[in-house]
Amino acid sequence: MNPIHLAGRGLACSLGLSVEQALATLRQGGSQASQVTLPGAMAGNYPFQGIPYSQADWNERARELVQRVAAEAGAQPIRDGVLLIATSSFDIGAVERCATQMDYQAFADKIAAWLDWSGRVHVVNTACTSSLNALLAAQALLRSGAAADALVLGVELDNRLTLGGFAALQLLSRTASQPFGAQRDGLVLGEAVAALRLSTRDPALWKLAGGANVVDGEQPTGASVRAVNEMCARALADSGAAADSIDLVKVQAAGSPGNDAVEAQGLREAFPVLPPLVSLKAAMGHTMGASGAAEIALLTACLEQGVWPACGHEMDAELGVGLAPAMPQNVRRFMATILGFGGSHASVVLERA
Amino acid sequence: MAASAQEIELAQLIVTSLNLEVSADEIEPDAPLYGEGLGLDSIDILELSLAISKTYGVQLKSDDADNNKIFSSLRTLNEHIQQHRAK
Amino acid sequence: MTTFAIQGRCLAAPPPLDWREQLARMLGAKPRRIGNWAELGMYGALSCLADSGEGELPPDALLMLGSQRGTYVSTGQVLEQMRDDLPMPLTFLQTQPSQLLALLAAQMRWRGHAGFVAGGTPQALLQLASAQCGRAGMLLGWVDEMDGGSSLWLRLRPCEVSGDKPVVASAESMFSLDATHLYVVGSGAQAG
Repeated sequence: MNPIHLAGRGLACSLGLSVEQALATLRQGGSQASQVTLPGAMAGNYPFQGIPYSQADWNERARELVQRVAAEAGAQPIRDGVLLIATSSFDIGAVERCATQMDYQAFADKIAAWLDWSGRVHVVNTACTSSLNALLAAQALLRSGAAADALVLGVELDNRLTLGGFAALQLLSRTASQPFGAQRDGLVLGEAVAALRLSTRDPALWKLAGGANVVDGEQPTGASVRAVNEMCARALADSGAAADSIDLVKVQAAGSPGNDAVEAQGLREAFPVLPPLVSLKAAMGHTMGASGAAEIALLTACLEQGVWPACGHEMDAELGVGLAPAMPQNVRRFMATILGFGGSHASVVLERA
Repeated sequence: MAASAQEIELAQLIVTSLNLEVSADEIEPDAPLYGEGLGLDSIDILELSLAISKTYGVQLKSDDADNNKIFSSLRTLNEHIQQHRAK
Repeated sequence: MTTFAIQGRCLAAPPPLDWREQLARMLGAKPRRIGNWAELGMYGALSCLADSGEGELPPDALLMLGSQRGTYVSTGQVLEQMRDDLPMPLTFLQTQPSQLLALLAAQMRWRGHAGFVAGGTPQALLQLASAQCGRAGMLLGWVDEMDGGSSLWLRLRPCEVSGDKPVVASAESMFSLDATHLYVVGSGAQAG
């Protein structure tokens, strides 16, 4: 079985319109969240990490961002490979503006046309874990030999439905995202378009070693300790890695009072000695279905170039975990986790090739 | 003690918004809403909170330390709403 | 080529008139907050599992769900609610297709790998699922609300016997009472 390399990556998020731009912004301490105002019973302002890219037409903006990010990931030569689009909100932002109808296939066809894609296209929606589940599907197709190249494209763009829904479920912070923080009071949503190009042909710095997804119905809107545990065990087994060989865990931790605590407890149970932890949620917001791809694109670049997200808030001592204040030395293998809606717990392991 | 008119009105909102099988006048004013009793869970409480906000203009937060008291029964919930209602 | 034996199925397109009563019996209570699309899915998946004769889905089986239009009805309701206020929490949750995966996992007392694929065809879903599926096989469903609703489910287990010459499959032949085996080859799914 040929290793599956992370042969290319692209990113547009609140930190910038490319991986390099995002790194540069992180080096300077990050970007300021904008504010969105929601109407009605829970009216008020909520911070939001939008992509700094203006274009009045929703579809046109999406097209430009998708094309830009796919090009950055080097998608052009593999357009006959597999395209896995990961999203929880599709083009609902355009539907809200009456610019299109809600139609899964039309959405997939539209993105395939933007990329001039001739290969297979699948749209994966498992809410927050969509990108990681798309990555697991791509891994299976590449392992089976059914394809040699795949592009995982996470797309989560401006819409009221996600913001309104999260506000109605009282999951949003009114101030800031404080992962594992003593004062954490909810998450901050963000936009992202992110691409990960996987290849069994092209060598690269990183390879995808394996991963796992565990759905647990115990909590329909959040994580469960036993499933975090099981996810870690399954992801390690699929990667052929031991718990003590993981040098870093990129956690889900978004600043939710309940979910952060569940994740912390699950990690403490799964790892006899806890590796250093990092969260990118304060830097780019929770980018939902795009988050898995967006955070892996950014984190691999951070590790290569020695950039580390600032962590200014005070940690919650009761959780028994904390975020690494500086980049750990010699990270050879890391785990990247997303937990989310639909009781979905997903994690992948990447290692230096 | 029998339910007041206000309590029956609130019970009706609970039944409708949560699609419950019971009828409004079957909800005992002093019986617990959570768990045993009416059998509501935290997601029901979120749904109910927003329905109450829209109807009475009272904001109910999921992280309010007094929630166990406020949501302990139809009677306590109605008392809280009547004290804070804006419409 | 991978061959799957069809071990159980539910071909409810449309479902029987009393499907809601049947679902309430299977759940032990009438569902009150999951929405019509998820109810349809629960009905089909639980019927399929019962048809397979298995008491429960093995933990290493795959649960794979697809749909042409998914939760478009509840999405429309949420857009309507959002004209001047926030959406109602339960309606918003109903717009998330993956909620059905969690509901099924809870009902089947199962924890494992499950996913939702939006659009495409049942054959493409099967092809994607078969690459991720191990010896315990999968529970594969295709659920839509249009035209009176449809909930099509198969309990598939990989097997050695390849049977007769594969027949090129459409959604109709995959979800047909005549099919006993499905063949998944590199480029597409076939039924025989």
